[in-house]
This record gives sequence, C-alpha cells and structure tokens, in this order.
Amino acid sequence: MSPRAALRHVEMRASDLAQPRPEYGHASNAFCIIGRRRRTRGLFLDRRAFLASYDPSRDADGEILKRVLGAVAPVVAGINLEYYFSTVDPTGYGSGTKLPHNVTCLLGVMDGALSDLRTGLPWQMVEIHEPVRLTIVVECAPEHLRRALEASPAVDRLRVNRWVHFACLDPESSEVRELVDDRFREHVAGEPLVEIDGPSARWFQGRSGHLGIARIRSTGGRALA
Amino acid sequence: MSEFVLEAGTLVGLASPALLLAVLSLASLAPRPLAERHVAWLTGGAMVASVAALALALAADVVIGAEVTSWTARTWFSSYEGSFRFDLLVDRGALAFALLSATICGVVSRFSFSYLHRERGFQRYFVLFSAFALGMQMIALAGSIEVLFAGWELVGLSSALLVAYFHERPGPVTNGLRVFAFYRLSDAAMLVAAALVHLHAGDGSLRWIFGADEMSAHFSPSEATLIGVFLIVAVAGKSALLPLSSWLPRAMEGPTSSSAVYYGSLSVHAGCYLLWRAAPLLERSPVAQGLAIVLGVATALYASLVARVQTDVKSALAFASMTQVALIVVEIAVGLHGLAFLHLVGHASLRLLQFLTAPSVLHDLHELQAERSESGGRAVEFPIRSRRLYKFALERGHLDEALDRVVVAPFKRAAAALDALDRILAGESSRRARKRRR
Repeated sequence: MSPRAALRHVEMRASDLAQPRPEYGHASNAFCIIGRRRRTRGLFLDRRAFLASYDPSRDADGEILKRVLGAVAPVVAGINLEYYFSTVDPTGYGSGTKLPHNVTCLLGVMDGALSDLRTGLPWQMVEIHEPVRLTIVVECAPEHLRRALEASPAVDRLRVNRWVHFACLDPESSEVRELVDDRFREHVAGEPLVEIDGPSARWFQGRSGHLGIARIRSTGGRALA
Repeated sequence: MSEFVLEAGTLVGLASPALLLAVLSLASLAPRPLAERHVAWLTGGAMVASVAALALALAADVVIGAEVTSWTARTWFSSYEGSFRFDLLVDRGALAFALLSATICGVVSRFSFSYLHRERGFQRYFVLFSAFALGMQMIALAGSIEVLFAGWELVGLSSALLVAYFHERPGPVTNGLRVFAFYRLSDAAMLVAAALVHLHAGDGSLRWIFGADEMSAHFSPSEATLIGVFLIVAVAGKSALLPLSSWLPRAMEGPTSSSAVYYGSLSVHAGCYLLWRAAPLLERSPVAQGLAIVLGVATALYASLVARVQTDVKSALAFASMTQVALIVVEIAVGLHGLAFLHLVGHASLRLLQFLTAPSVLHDLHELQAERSESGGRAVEFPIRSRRLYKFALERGHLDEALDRVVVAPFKRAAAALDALDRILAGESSRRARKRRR
C-alpha cells in the first residue's frame, strides 16, 4: 500500500459511520518518558510511550521537575489505569461492546433500551491493549525524583501502591535506575536493542502485535510520508 | 422479452435472499463459523443480485405497462376444503416496495460488515438478517395469504431474535421475549384473517382483498369488516399502533444497524404496506376504515407527545418513527394512496439514516453548537407547558404497566387456574399441585 493510499484509508476510517474503531486512541500505552527529546531521538517506540519534555541541565535544584511531575504523572497514570481496568474487566469497569450503545441525556451511553450509565472504555477501544502498569522514566538525578515525589503525595501514593512504576535515566550516561520499594536499583537491560537502517517501516511493515523498541539509523532519506 | 425479464427478475429478487438464508444456516451447523470475509461476499452477492434483478423487473413492468401480473408457482399442499399455494402477485407497487426493501437491506448489510467486525455472533447476525430480507420480499410480492403469513413470520422471528442478540445480558432477552409476544398477537390476528379469507373465497389468494372488483364478488360488507378488523389488529402489532405500541422502544437492544433496518425503516412499515395493498377492503368497510383512522390519529398524537421528552436517542427515534407510521396509516385509511406510498418511502430512508447516525449524536451536537454560537441562534424550547401532560409523556402514557395489569396478570391467573384444574383432573391432589406451582 502506498503512503498516499494509507493516509486516505485512515482518513476514511475517521469519518465512516459504520466504523466502531475510528482510531485506537492511547491503546497499547505502556511507558512515559520525561526528559530531553534528544535522548529518545531515533528510537522506534511502537506508539506505546507518552513523551513529555523536561531539561534536567536547566533545573539544578529540581524545582521545575516537581511541577512537571505533578502535572504529567496524574494524567498519564489515569489514562493508563483507565485502559488497564477496561481491558481486564470489559463489562464491569469498561463499557462493553459499542454496538448496542444508546446515547442518553446527551451526556453518556447506556446499553440498549434501559441500563445503568456505562463508564470506562468500550471493548472495541481496548481490544488491542496489553494491560500493563505504566512505567514513568524521568531523566534526572535520583534525589531530584525522590524530592519531586515527596512534593506530590497523590502521585507518590500511586507509586507506593504500585499502580505506576518509576525509574531514573541518568542525564550524563545511559544508566537507568528503577525505584523499587523506596530504593533505587540498577536496571539491567534484557535483550540488545534492534538496529534498523531507516525508515522505521522496515521494522513494523507487515507485522501486527506489539513490537520491541528499535533504534532507527537515519539514511538521510525522506521518512514515510 | 419484457415479460421474461419481469418474471425472471422477480424470481431472482426473491430467490437470492432465500438462497443466502439456506447457505448461511447450513454453514452455521459446521463446528467453525465462516470467515467474516466469506460471509460478507455471500451476503453482498445476494444483496446486489436481488437489487439488480428487482430494478430490471420494475423497468420491465414500466415497459409492459401491465396492470397486475400473478403467477401460481406451485401448490404447497391441499386439503378437501381448499389448497395452499405459493402465489406471487406482482404489480408496480409490489415491485417498488420489494426494490426499496432490497436496497435498504443491501445498504444496511454493507454497514454491518464493518460495524460487527470481530463481534461474537457475526454469522448469527447475518443468518437472521437474511431471514429478514427474505421475509420482506415475501411480504412485498405475496400473492396468497399463506406466502404473506410466512414472510410475516420470518420478519417477526428474526426481529425478536435480533432484539435478544446480546443474550449474555438479561435485558435484551426479556425485551426480545416481549417483542415476540406482541408479534404473536399480531400473527394470530393475521391467521384469523387468513382463515376467514379461505372460508369465504375458497382459497387464500390476495386478489380477493387487494382487487376491488374481485372482492365485491366474494365478500359481503359484514364479512369485509370482519376480515378488515383482524387485518388492522395484525398491522397494529407490526407497526406499533396503539394500544400495541409499548414494545417499540424496548426493541432497541440489538446492534444499532438492526434497530435501524427493523424499527426505523422496514419492519415497522410492513404493516403500512399490507394496509396499503388491502385498501379496497377498507373502502368497502366503513367500520374498518374508521378503526384505522382512530388508531392512526391516536397513535400519532400519543407518539409525537412522548417523543418530545425522551431522554435517550434511540427511544426518541422510536417514538418519532411511530408518529410517522401512524400518519401513513391515516393517509391510507382516508384514501390518499399515492401520498401514503411516497411518505412511506421517504420516511423509511430518512429514519434509516437517523438511526445509523444515532451513535454519533454527541459529535453532531457539538458541531451544531459550534455553528449556533457563531450565528447567535437560540436553542429550541420544549413546547409542553402542562406538568401533567409532561409526566404522562415521560412515563410513556403508562402503557406497559396498564397492559401488564389488564392483560398479562389476568392471563397468568387464568393459566394458573387451568393448570391447577388440569392437575386435579389428572388425579394429582390439589395440595401437591399448589406446592408445585410455588
């Protein structure tokens, strides 16, 4: 399929009345990276990451991080947990299949002629989601992250009760430390990173399901339109 | 040549949904369901064939310019009192309605391919849908009351089963059963009308009630009235006229696409179509005519009032379509046949679109509000000032509760009493019978 045809296909989906999956929203989200964008440039993240910009080199005392974490973490954790619960229990926490949904009072949906208001995400939206808890990777010194968490008790409660995981990416090196039970622990990388001579379509084309992170070496050519 | 096209087109139009139903039902017996792709090919092929054949047949009919064509395909079975025949009665109105049904079924089946993608019961949906498509063609082209009844049953049964499509929840099953009960009442009335036609005319040909001249030869005015009243009861059940209208909003349990084709566009109009064709019978009987007018006007007023206060989009559409269907019945009863048919076609198409866009009503609303705030328009105010009337409309006229109290409860009591009597007659002690009933 040519890039132009692919674009037309996606645009058609968005306006197709018969299409219960016009787009997949945040489905398959698994992690969030708060840091300088150049640290992730060239990485193929399989649409699974929330990316928030933050520059640790301009934040010597960690004050900016407190504000960034307080704003970003509740949002991404909330989104992740909404997908999580709608996937593990589509009829209880999710809103079941979309097909019998009936818009009521112009504010919500119910099933068919009469039912409770349905909350959560419909089955069609979470069908391809993998219910994993979010890992938030912050590019900063470990003590800055610790202090930022102390400053946002709501976020810290999510961490203590293990609804989200935190990790630190060292601003100077590629060292990653996970925050496990109030202690920072060295993260040991599993498999080596896949390296692809760009464009990224070489990695994902013709494959469905979740893909590993890959490093895309730019060939200087035009990316997929 | 034109005669051949007319005959072949009609038969193909009728046979292709029949073939589809046969193939899909047989395939359902296999341990594994067919791939969605194959179901889509089969259904799409049958729908396209049906629409094309009927369009050709209609064109041929216009070329010939014949009044009425009727074929006796074959005798189903006969008894000493008469025979049951598979008759088709084909004229321009019948072909037009058949073409409308086939087109709408085709559009909705295309919609359903994407809409039901990866849904459990994909194939079951299309089995029921093809039964419905066949039923509509049989109603449209029926030449004898037996064919009409068979089509009527196919539409009714598939309708109830599609209401109960999501059978893992109790709501759809309960409502499906209720719809089925109303349809049975309608079917029983239709069956009585069929028996009366047989009794007085010797066979079940619909010529006796659809043709003005033939009818007067067979039925006295009082006989026409009796048949007419039973036909109207059958129509009232299918087209949700008062007092048999409370099932319509309850039928909104299936996938949106099936609600659209049944309760927005085709199934609710099947009754109107039958009445439209039986108009000569109505004209012969002022009582039946009066009954149709009274039921139609009352339903239109009731449904129009109730539709204004519904809080969910599908109920609002159900009552809105009930209003228009009742108006079509009134138009037929007062003799405005051309207008009635035009109204039917227009309403079926418009309501289909409204039902199919119902899930995106919030999206549409936001666009509308954005436009309004730009142009400085005002919101429409609710027209009912009386609080009592408002409550009446909100409670849908207490119709369901009244039916439960007046009809269902006494019926259940009578059934329980008969059951007890049966047990006593069968030698069981009344004490044990009571125990078991509990």
